[in-house]
Amino acid sequence: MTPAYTYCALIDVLGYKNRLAEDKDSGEFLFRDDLEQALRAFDEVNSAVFSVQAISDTIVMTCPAHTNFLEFLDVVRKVFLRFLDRGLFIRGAIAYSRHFQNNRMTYSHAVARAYELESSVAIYPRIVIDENIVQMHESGTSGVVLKGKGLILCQNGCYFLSVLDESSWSAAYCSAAKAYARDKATIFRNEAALSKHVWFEQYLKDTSVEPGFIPYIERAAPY
Amino acid sequence: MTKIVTLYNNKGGVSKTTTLFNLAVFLAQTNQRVLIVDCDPQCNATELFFASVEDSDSPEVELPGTSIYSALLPRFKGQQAVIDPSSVELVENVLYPNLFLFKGDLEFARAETYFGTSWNQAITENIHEKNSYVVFERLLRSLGEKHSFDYILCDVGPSTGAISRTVILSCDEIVIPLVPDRFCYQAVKLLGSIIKEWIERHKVISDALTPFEIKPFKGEPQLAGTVVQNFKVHSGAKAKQSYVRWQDKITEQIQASLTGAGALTAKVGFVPSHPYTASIRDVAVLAPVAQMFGRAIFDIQQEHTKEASTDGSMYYGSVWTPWQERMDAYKKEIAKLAKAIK
Repeated sequence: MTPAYTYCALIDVLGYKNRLAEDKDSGEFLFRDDLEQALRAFDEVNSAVFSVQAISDTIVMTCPAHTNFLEFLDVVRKVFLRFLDRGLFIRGAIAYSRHFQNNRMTYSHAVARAYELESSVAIYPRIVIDENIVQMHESGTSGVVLKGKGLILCQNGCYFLSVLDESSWSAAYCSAAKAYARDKATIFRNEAALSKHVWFEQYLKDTSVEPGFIPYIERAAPY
Repeated sequence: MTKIVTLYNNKGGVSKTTTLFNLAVFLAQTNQRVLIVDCDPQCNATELFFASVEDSDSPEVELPGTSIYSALLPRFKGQQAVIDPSSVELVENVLYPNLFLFKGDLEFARAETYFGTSWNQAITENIHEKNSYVVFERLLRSLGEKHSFDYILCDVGPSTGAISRTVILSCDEIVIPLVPDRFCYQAVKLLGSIIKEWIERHKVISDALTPFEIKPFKGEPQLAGTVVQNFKVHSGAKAKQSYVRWQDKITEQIQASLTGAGALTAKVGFVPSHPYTASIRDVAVLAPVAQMFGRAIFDIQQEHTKEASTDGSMYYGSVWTPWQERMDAYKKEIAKLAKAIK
């Protein structure tokens, strides 16, 4: 069977290894509980259209048709917020290319492309969208309109999913602040880990509609 | 609907440009709207087209019209997905109404890299390369529609590079100019399988365009005819035997390699066993005189013969009559080519 063209979101749970180690050391299953709760987001996904595979820290979601693409973006957005609600950042990418999967195997150019973007472009807790997808829908022939809909943000030539809106902002702020407080000890002297929190805090600040944003990450202090 | 045609042979010196220009003039004179697209970075078709314009060969004179390279550059640079045909200024010939030029550009040689990359990358999810892959054909079709051209004739250089490949796949029909010699025989041996490989690869690329909402083009040019030329004749206008022998060998190759299994599809009416749509004998001094004035070889006027004589006087009577006969004979052969691409 020829692999069909499919949208594919490859999502990575950030800090997976550390949280797993914490559970192991403490003898508790806090991370497992968080993960389980977060993955419930997929219970609401229309499995007749979208497929989901979660293995370890990686989740692969697919959408087969242009007609379902906007819905697909919404599903990914909800998944992002659900993970955040459990204090988990996710990072991922969406690509469109050939994809085939059955019970035994996955053969996918789309997963490979999404992985490439996730690992080299996304960097921060966000879902990058392949520029080729954006360009593909610019002509309007697909019936999918992305431009001017507030679904996607673009910074420095990188397109990523807009996950926050007025209704989700406050909860996202609280969750992100709590996650930072929880991770503060483990990210000490780990600039890469800190940068993810810093980036998300800036994103919250940029999308805040209320004046007087209160930063939750400690600022640099004079020595 | 506009028909896109090219005269192609990867061997040089087979009168591709001269024949194309004369065919274009012939069609224009028979009330067809014709566009010559100069896709050869050597720009010989452009030079020929403007030769009828005074001072056109002066380096200070900027030739009018948009060049093929500057028209396509916004796509190559990723600035535009599609090239608007309104952005392309075509030039009408001063001698021949209905005949237009999309002028060439020395810098178009750079398109080898752009088209080469798109050939390799259009199969991936890279939209930029997909758009670059289809841009040439799209632009020609949109120009054809916008200006109601009956024919677009593309002049290409003698290579199997990315520009030639792009042009050939964009065409509806190909005419192959030949000369009866060993080198052409070798070229014909390879040409069919090379073009067929391109067509097969184009099909694979096309499958990777549709899912991305990019309409692929047909990419399956048919062989409309061949024209054998530049052969020398005896005084009785019979081709010399040495040319006939090479011609016979080339005929065998046309059947075996050019139109055989796994090679080019012949247009209905093209008979591989009798493949020469037109036979043009060596036109001797007529070609350089025609080039000097930017005229078709069959349209040289008596006054132009001053350039052929040693003392600058015009040819008359028994000297001029053979010129007229040669021009008439040439025109008849060009008419056969015009019929073949109809």
